[in-house]
This record gives sequence, structure tokens and C-alpha cells, in this order.
Amino acid sequence: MWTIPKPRYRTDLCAEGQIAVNIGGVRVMLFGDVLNRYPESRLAELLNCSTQNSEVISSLCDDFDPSRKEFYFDRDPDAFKCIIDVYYFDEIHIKRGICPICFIKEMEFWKIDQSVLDECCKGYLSEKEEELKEIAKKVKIIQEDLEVDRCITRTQRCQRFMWKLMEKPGSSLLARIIAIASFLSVLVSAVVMCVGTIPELQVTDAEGKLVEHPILEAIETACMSWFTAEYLLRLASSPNKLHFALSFMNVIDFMAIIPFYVVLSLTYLGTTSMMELANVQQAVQALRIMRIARIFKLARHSSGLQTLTHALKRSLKELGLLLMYMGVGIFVFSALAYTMEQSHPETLFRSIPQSFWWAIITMTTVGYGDIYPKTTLGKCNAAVSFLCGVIAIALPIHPIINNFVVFYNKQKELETAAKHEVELMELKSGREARRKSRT
Amino acid sequence: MSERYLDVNRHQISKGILSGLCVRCLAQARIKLQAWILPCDEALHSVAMEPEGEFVSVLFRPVISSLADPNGHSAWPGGENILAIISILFIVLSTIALSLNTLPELQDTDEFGHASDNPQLAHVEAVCIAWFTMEYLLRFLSSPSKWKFFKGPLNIIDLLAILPYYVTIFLTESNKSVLQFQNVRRVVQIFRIMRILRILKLARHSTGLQSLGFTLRRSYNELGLLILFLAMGIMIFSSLVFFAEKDEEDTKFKSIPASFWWATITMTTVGYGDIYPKTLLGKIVGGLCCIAGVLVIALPIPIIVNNFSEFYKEQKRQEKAIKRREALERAKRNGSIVSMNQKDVFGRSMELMDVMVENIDGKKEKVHDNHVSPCPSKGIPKLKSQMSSSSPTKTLEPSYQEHAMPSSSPQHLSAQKLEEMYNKMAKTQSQPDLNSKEKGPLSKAVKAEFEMESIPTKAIPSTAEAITDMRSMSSIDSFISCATDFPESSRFSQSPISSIPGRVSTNPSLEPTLENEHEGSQGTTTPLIGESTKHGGSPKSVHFKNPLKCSLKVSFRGGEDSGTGVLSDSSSVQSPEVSVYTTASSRTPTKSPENLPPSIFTFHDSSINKFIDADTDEEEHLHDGSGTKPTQRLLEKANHTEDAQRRQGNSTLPLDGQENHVAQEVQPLQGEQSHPNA
Repeated sequence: MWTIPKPRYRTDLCAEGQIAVNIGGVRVMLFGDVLNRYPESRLAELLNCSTQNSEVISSLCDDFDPSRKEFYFDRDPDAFKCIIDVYYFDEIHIKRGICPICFIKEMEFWKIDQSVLDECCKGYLSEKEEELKEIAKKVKIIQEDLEVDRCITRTQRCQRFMWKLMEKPGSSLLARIIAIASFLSVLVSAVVMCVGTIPELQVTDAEGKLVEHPILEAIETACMSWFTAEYLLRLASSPNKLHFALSFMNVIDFMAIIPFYVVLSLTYLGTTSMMELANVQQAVQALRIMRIARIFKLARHSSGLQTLTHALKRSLKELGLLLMYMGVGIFVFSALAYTMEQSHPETLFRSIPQSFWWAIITMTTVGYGDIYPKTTLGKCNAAVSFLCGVIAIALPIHPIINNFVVFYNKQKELETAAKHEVELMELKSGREARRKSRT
Repeated sequence: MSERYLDVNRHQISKGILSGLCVRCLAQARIKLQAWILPCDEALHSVAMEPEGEFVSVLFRPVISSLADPNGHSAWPGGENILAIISILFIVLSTIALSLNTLPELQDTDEFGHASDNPQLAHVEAVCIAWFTMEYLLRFLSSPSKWKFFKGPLNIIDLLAILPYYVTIFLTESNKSVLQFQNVRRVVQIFRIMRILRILKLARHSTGLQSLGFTLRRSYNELGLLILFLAMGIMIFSSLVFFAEKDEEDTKFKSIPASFWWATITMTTVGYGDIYPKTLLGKIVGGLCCIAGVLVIALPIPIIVNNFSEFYKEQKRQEKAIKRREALERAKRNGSIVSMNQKDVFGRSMELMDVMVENIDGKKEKVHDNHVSPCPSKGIPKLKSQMSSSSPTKTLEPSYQEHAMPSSSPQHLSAQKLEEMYNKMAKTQSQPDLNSKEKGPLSKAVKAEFEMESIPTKAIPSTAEAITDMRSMSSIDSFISCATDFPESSRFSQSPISSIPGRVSTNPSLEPTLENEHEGSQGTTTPLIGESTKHGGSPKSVHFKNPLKCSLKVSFRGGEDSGTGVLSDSSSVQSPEVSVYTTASSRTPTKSPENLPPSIFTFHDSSINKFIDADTDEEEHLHDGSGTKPTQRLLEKANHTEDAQRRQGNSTLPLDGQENHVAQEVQPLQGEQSHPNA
């Protein structure tokens, strides 16, 4: 690799098979044979046509000094210093401080394929590109919000209006009121669900069974009808129905609604004795648990929760790691504890699966105290398992937290950046308008 | 980053050029600026600026100012610390008394058979409350703006600590009858609980507590997130466990609200063990709940922690700045600093100049000796001239080497400047003003006494090498100041005693009479001795060892026009602000190399440090100045000034160049340091 001669700077003489280029003030002597390693690149083309007419040359470079045989390019010399590496080492690293997007443009100018960019810098580039895309997406959303309706038909306009009303709480006062109302109804229904289970507030029905208080049931029904109306309106006003039905938040909405109707229909079937009452009641019981899903509806109103879900999605691997560490720890320590506690006559560890519970509670440092070791060895084991548990939890949690924090901060920054971008666009358009009016 | 942001903000044009990606960097800076630095500024200013009353000022001034500002700076040195300690002791004492009061053994029973306060503890309580009340009232009286004082968060805490006591007294005294007493008792109990608020009074004396409060206020978003996560987790897991456990006999999970407690204790991994699941399903849910709890709590906390540390850092920095300013004020009050007008200031700053003229040729060794104790070795200053605007009788040897050394003004002087700077900072003025201000005094005030010594040495011009080392490119600031001084300095060229190879040392001979002792030792009478002893290992010595190798070599050019550049240079140093933050601006000589005679300039930089770190005592500095190397000190200084500027920059949007300026200046110096060694 080192046998290939390096470029010489600031030499005046241009020997045979060499060309002198001046990139933004930096003069470099390049060897023709080196440049020819990438014949499709701009420099190689320049080398090959340097004997030909000046038109071709001027199309390839910005200026040409025939007396010194020097080609002038009005490009960034720093980026060029990186790019020239490709002729020597077959790979390019982006120097710190150069914007990767800029650098890609430079590479395009020099007609060098992007594939020669080294892996490490590719990651950097793709990261930046992703950010750019996200900013662009946000800008697009902001612009869409600002855009005036251009829909032709009345139904379309109506649909658009509804869509804005339901999905964009910031667009108008009414939309905000709707958002707040839906948030409150989620809270109320969650509270009602919890309160409904307090025995003191329950009433006995005809068969002597405890059922929910009628008032609570009424509130529940009202909330459910609100959710249903909301869901249907959203569905009706959405431009793309399938996309809407499959999106994560709407699936949750659907899950929150559907148990209620299933229960309703089942009880109807039960009373009309098409099915056995006992079966129906069991099914109803199971479906009641599904009501918990409505709490997730809060995520629609909290960006923090959305960030959490994103971060968790990103760090599935680490979550798996966490569970694996915990699993291994639980197995090891519960088995150890079981064998060590065998010597004690009144042991609380009756089997290994039973001591799983103890291991979990110890490793997560919860420590209920329902099962605890009684022998000395078992106590030592408990201490070790507690320490291991702390470590096993702390280690994989750190990347998860990191993901979350990075995501959280980035979200804020991208938001600000998008706003900034929009401001810039307005500024630019204003300037252009002024220029037009002047001319 | 934030500087760049500010820069872009200033120039609307460049904003348009930025691409979306770089916009993100801006966004980062913007968020940081808006979220942390600005509010921190405000918060600190509101805390630190509130004292200084004019009301009872003469009589109670020491007491009041010390009460008002226990951070250790005001008219009564030492007193405020003592008062702060007393105050803290009272807080601690009253809190201990409050908790001891509830011990059954120490309680008395009143006539109704209820437990009541121990009489001794009640006395303690009364004394503490009296102290708190006095403190509060004095503060209130001494505050310039009563309403602002009333609204201040720390003062609200103070009030809340006092009020319950008086309300209790009022209620118990006004309702003596037995009937009403039962109702009153309940109210009184509530107020008794409120007494515990006095522990928050400690916040006044602790930066950490203040930043904790501020952090919580700033990061309510994240706190909300934490609570939301926890609430959702609790909801979900308690309902799950309820459905899992409800068919169990004798279960404690009777309803979802009842199992909230279990979920909370499990998610926070406290685990009392009063409720725990018994079925298999319940245990699975419990295990998941533990892990989810650990995760959910751990997630938003780093953000809050980050906020806290960011704020804490910022606060520490600003507190230091305030302390420095206070130290300056104190020093001024003590008499070590006498208020001077700008002209005087300028005149004095001239003194820092030490012009050394040396011949370059073989006499290196001798030169080396000379500089160690420059003036005394020569004996008596031969030329002592008042350098007023019309009496320039200075001659500078043509064959000089020029040393651009970090200049410094005598302490009192720089102190004044620093103070000015801080004042400006406080007013959040923008940088440009400084420059314009400087120019005025600059042009006028060239009033300094120079002690000149011509040393009979062979001046053999080293014409051969005309090395102008441009490393020390001066900043625009100093350049401007130089330019303004040029007319004056050009005078020097008129009377060239060029034939005499000599050494001109301009010394702080015009030292004011109003200095305190240590300053005096170096000042008025034997200025040079003071100087030279003060920094044994200071710039000079480093330089003189190899005079030829000094970074700035301007080749010797015959006698013509010799003095000009040199003196213009030295005067450029004088510009108050410049010499403060870019002491290195004295390195300006390179500006007009053609005119410049090679000559050695040494500017003492020791004294400036003293006041730049005004936190420490002056005396200390006098001594430790000698130990440190010049570059180190300069760097230190640069850091300080950079700091100051950053602070300034934060409060006032436009600024930056200066920082770069400092950095630029410092680097070459470092190079210089290493140069002679090599």
C-alpha cells in the first residue's frame, strides 16, 4: 500500500504523467497511474482528456491555467483531502467536522461511487440521513397543518374537517376540547373500572350475586359510547381506512371497545338461553380483564408514552437480555436455595418451582417475606442472589435507558429543528417574493 | 455550539444557508439555552441581587447586609458567615425540638387531659421563632423592592416557617373556652405540622437544595412522565392481580383499589410483605410487575438527573462569578482599591509596561542576568520621564528584540477593570459597547511614568534575519486600540538615542499612594524590585534565557523610526478591557513589522491574576504568583475570562469573537513557552 506514491503539495513542476490540480487554494500534484485506478472518476477523466480541447476541460473543471498546467476546482479542499484517499487506500473516511451530507455531494462531484465509503462512516451518514428524513416528515406535517383546504367536493372537505378535528388537537379550539374530553373519559372509565370492584360499593342482584353498582354501570356505558363514537368518527374521516385500522393506537382503541360489546351480546345470548348461563358468565369474566386495555388509550395523549413504546421497541434485544439474565439467575438460585434449605425441618422451600417465586422477589429486591431462607447457607445464598439480581437488572437496563433518553431528547430536538426549518422556508419564500416584487 | 447559535441569530443571513441537519445542532443549542442557561441566570440573579437595601442603611448596614446575603460577601467581613451558621443552627435546633416534642415521655398533660408541649421545648421554640422573625423582618426592611421580596420563593418559605407559630398562639389565646377548644385543636394540629416547613429554610444556605428545587420545577415534564408511567403500571398490574387472586380464599386483594397498594409497593421494589399474591397466576403477574417497575422507574430518572447536573454546573459557575465580584467590592471598600476615573486607570495601566532593550549579539549571557532583576542590577534609573502627551523623550534602541509577553496591569487596576466587566455583565450589555468605551480613555490617557535605563551594551544589529513571527496575530480589539494610540507613540520615534544600545524599562513607577502594604512594596518606591522579586520564574526569565529564540523576532532596522511600533504596542495593552481578557494582546508588535525596532518587551502579567481570581486573598496571590509559570497563569486567566465571557454571552445574546480571541492569543504563547526550551 505504501509503495504507491503520495501526492506532493506545492510543487511547481509538473512531470510527465502527472497533473496539477488546485482545489480551493490547495495545490496538489497527482500521478496519472494512480488516478487511473478509478477511470470513471472526474480526475481520471480530466487526466485522460487533458491533451484535448479546452471545452472538454472546462466542462470538467472550473478553470485551467495552460501555462502551469493547473486545473482549478472551486470545491472544499478539506473534503477533497478525504476523497483523494480512495485512490490510495480504496476506501474513504469522512473527517470529523465535515457534514456527511455535504461530503456525499462532494463525492458525487468527483464522480466517486458511494460504496467506497467505509463502513464506520456509512453508519454516521445513514444516521444523519435518518434524522434528515425525520425532520422532513415533521416539516411536512407542519406544512400540512398550515395548508389551506384544497379539496373540491363537499364531502371531502367535510371529511378533512373531521379528520383535523379528531386527530390534530392543536388545530382549533373545538379539536382541543374534544381531545381533553376524550382524555377525561379514559380516566373516568379507568377509575370506574377500579371502583366497581370494591365490595362495599357493589350491590346484590336477584340471584344474590355481587354486581356493579348501576350508577357506575351507567357511567361505563356512557364512556363506552363516547369511545365508540370517537372511533367511528375517526374511521370515517380517515383518508386511508386500512392504514387507519392497522395502526397501533387504533388497534388499542378497538381493543378497548370490543369487550364491552362482546359482553353485551353474550349476556343477551345468555338471557335468551341460547347458551348456558355459567359459560357466559365465565366468558364475561375473562373479557372484563380486557377492559384494562383502555388505559393504553392514554398513550394517544402523551408523547412520553409514545417515546416509551418506541424506545422499548428499539431495545427489544436488551429486554430479551434482561429476561434471560433474570431467568438464568432464577433457575440457579432457586435450585441452590432449595437444596440448601433441605436440611431445615420447617423449610418454606418445598419444591424448585415454588422457590422460583422467592428467587424473583429476592433478585428484584422486593422481598415480601412470605418465603425466606432459615439455614445459614441458605441465607448466604440469598445474599449472593440479591447481589446478582441487582447486577443482572442494572446491566441490561442501562442500554434501554440510554435508548429512551436519546430518543426522548432527539424527539425534542427534531421538533425544534422542524420548526426552525419551517421558519427558514417562510423566510426564504418571503425573500423570493420581495425579489420578485422588486423586478 | 450555543455560540454558533448565537452567532447565527445575530446574522440573519447565514441562517438561511444552514441545511436541515445543521439546524438540528442549532435546535440543541436553542433548547439548552432556553431550558437551562437563561432561567438559571434569572434564578440566580433574583437570589443574589435581592439584598443591598438603602433603608436603614447607615445604622444597620453591617447587620442587614450580612443577613441579606449569607453567601459570604458584604460590608462586614466574616460576620455574614457567622450569621449564616447561627441561622442554620437555629433551624436545626428548632427542628429537633419539634420532633422531640412528640416523644410521649417528654410531653406534659394540660388541664383537659390532652398531651401538650414540654415547657422547656416550648421556650426553645419561642427563641427560634423570635430569631426567625427578626431575620425575616430585617430582610424585609432592607429589601429594595418589598413586593419582589414578598414574592421570592425563599422568602415565602421563611414566612411559612414563622406563620404557623403565630397563628397557633392567636387561635389558642382567642378561644379560651372549652367548647370551641376542640375545634381549634384540630386546626392547631394542622399548623403544627406546617412547622416542619422550616427545614426548607436550609435551602437559603445550600446551593444543592436550591438547584434541586429548580430542577424539579424545570423538569415537571419528566416528573409527570414518571408518575404517568407508574400510575399506568399500577393500574394494569393491580387489576391483573385482582383478577388472578380474587377467587382465592381469604385473599387480601379484595378490589382493584385495594391492590393498588400492593402494586405500588411491588413496583417500587419496597415489598413490605403485608399483601402478596398466592396463586400461580398472581405470582407470575407479581414477577412481571417487579421487572416492569424497575424499568419504568429507571427510564425517566436519568433525564431528570441530567437536568439536575446541568443546572448544578451552571449554578456553580455563576456563583463563583458572583463571589468574585463581591470580593472585588469588598476589597474596594477595604481601601485597597480606590475609585479612580477612567483616565487614571489608564494612566496606571501604563505602568505595567516594561520595555526592555537588549542587544542581540553575543551578550546573551549578560542579558540573561540582567533580566532576573532588571532594574536594580542597573542601579539607578537614568531616565525618568513623565510621559504626558507632550513629553516623549524616550528612545528605543534600534536593534531590539521584541518580546510580546502577556501584559498585566497592577492589581488594583485590573480589579477595577474586572469590576467594570462584571458590572457590565450584570447589566447584560452587549459586547460592542466595550470597544467603543475603551477607545475614549485610550486615546487620551497616556500618562505614565517610565523608568528608563540605558544600559551600555553593544548593540550589534542582527540584520541578517528578518524574522517576523506572525504567530501572535493580534485581535481586532487590540489592533483598534493600537491604532488609536499610534499618534502618541509616534512621538517616541522623534528622539532616537539610537546610538546608545540600552535597555528601556518602563516600570510601574506611578504607583498610587493609596495602596495597601503589599502592593506598595512592589509599587511606588522600588517598583522594579517588587516586580522582579515577585516573579522569579515569570515571563521575563523564560524569555531572556534565549533571547534570540523568542517567538517574536523583528529584525533590526537601523535607527529610523524606531520607537513607534513598540510604544504603540504597549499602549495598546492599556485598553482596560483588552488587558483584562486578552492580556496576550500585548503581543501586538507584529502589526507593523517594518516600523518596529526589534526590542524586548516584557509585560508583567502576574498581578492581573490576582484579581481575576479574587476569591482568594490578595496576599496569597502575591506569593504564589512567583511560583506559577507565566503561560500557566495566562491560561488560567484565559479560562477565567472565557468563563466570564461565556456567562456574559449567555445573558446577552450577541457575543462571541472574544472567546476565540482569547484562545488564539493563548495558543501562541504556549508555543512560545516551549520554544525556548527546544
